[in-house]
Amino acid sequence: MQILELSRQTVEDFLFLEAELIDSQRFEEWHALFTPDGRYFVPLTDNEDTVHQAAIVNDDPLRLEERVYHLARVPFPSQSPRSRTLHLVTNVRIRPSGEGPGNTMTVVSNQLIVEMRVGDFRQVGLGEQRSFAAEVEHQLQPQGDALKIAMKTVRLLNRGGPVSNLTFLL
Amino acid sequence: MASSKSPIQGVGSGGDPQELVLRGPHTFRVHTRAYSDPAIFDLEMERIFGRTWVYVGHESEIPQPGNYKTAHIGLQPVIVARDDKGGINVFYNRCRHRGSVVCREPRGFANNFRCPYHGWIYGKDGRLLGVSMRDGYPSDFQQPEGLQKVPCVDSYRGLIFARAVAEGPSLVEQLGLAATWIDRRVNMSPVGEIELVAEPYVVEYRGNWKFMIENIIDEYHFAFVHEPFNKLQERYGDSTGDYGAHVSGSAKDMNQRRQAGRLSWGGVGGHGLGERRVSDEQLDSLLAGEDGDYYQGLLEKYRREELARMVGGGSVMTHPNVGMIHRQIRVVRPLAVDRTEVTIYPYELKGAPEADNQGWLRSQERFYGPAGYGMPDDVEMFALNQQGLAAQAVDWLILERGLDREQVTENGDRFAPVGGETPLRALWVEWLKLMSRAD
Repeated sequence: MQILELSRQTVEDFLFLEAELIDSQRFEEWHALFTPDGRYFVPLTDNEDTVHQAAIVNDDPLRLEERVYHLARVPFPSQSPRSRTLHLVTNVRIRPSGEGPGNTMTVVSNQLIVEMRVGDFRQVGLGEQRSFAAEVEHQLQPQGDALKIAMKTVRLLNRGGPVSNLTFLL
Repeated sequence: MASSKSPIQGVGSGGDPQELVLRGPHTFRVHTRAYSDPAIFDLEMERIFGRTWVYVGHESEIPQPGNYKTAHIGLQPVIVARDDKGGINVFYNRCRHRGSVVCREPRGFANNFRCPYHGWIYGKDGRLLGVSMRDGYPSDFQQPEGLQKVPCVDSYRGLIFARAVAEGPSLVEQLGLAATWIDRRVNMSPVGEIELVAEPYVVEYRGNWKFMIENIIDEYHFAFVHEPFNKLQERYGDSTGDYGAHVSGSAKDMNQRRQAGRLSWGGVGGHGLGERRVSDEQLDSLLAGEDGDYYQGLLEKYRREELARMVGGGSVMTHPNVGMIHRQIRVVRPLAVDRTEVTIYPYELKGAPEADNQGWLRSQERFYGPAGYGMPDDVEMFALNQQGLAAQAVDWLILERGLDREQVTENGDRFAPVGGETPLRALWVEWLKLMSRAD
């Protein structure tokens, strides 16, 4: 597969597949979409510095494995009951080649992530729909016949503001 | 308190805070209303946040003249600003004319503050520099001097506090034993200074502010709320960036290490303090390790036993609402009786190895952020608590753990083996004292 030959439709299909895996809580299959050195990054600040800034998520491959293990295998209070999510993926743009490293394609989409926790809907924090708007950047690489994520960056619209419980996948 | 009252019976509806804490040789219970009654919340804003030293920022956030940051004293918005002489002033973020806030950014630089409503201009020191279209006012117009100042401002080790009333104890008096704990955190810097560089995490939860204050020095909850995190520690240890902030290893090892060298203190003045010590072996391995020069430098300044405590990194929760935990300053801001904002400012140790400061940043990312493995579970619990309190038929919350194991120092500070609720009780003793003062 040549990265430069990919159509927007192919790329969109990939983003839709990724969204479906998250929304249907197939977390380990989602993890398998990443390259072995793939990273997942949700910055808190506009400058996206990680030397002097803390991020919301700053996962290298081992931390990403830990996140997926935590989410899929270890029940924890802020996901008991769990979040349902629904990703709306739109405004997909393929950045000109040369912007990403090597055989990598940079794809930017706008996403509206709607989240709601199930359980006793009369209780605080459950049954409430929250929405998160974000610009999402994927660095994609071909591996055999498949596309893989080398890096996923989620730039939340409300980064830096008061935000609680982002313990689901964005 | 009526002596006929047993802990399981109700209190009167008179709104007397004295009735909301039950104390006896074997009793320490707090009434539901102390966490859920809006009238009690209003009284807290007046008698606690309105009268005590409240943390408003750190000197490193406003290093130069013209630097400012916004903060709150209770519900009241303030600006903390550095004037041309380098002095720190705290004034209410409210134009003296018609009430608009004059500063809309959380921090930054300004030569002056201009009210967006009618253009009144205030200087870096809050002084009113100009009333727009001044000739429209009568000749005998009583012009305010400037933005209203908060009367008392003082710093301790770079932490800036302000007090809304002129009279009261000094900042150091209020901090009491907590000052020692702040020293231990700040002295980890070779030059004795911390710097707030990173943007903070801001988290809101729908529960009373005191649940967070209590939780910071509640070691009892860790094995339960953070059982999932402990599972990660068992599996990943330091490999995913904990940087030694939490114990790791087998469940049994972790349990043992959570007891060793640890005490829980309840300081006079309502301060909760967790004392931790690293073992001799741990200290030796640090002294011989990659950052050995840094630790050797500290050993030249502090006794070995003190260094073991400093490196152990116990938590401090100073009354009423600022704590230092790991490498962060945590500010708990009450918004309403059942709504709270928590701001977590990671800080760096000035002069410490770059890798050390970065290591701690990664560690805090892993536990304290909104997608971390600790804080989201804690605040989940506070919302659960608040909801449970709606069952008002149940009067009391029980804070009696370790009550029979406390020891008292000459100064009246109390300590007990880790896991007791001594620090939480200290908070309530101070709460009662402040809330009962009507004058």
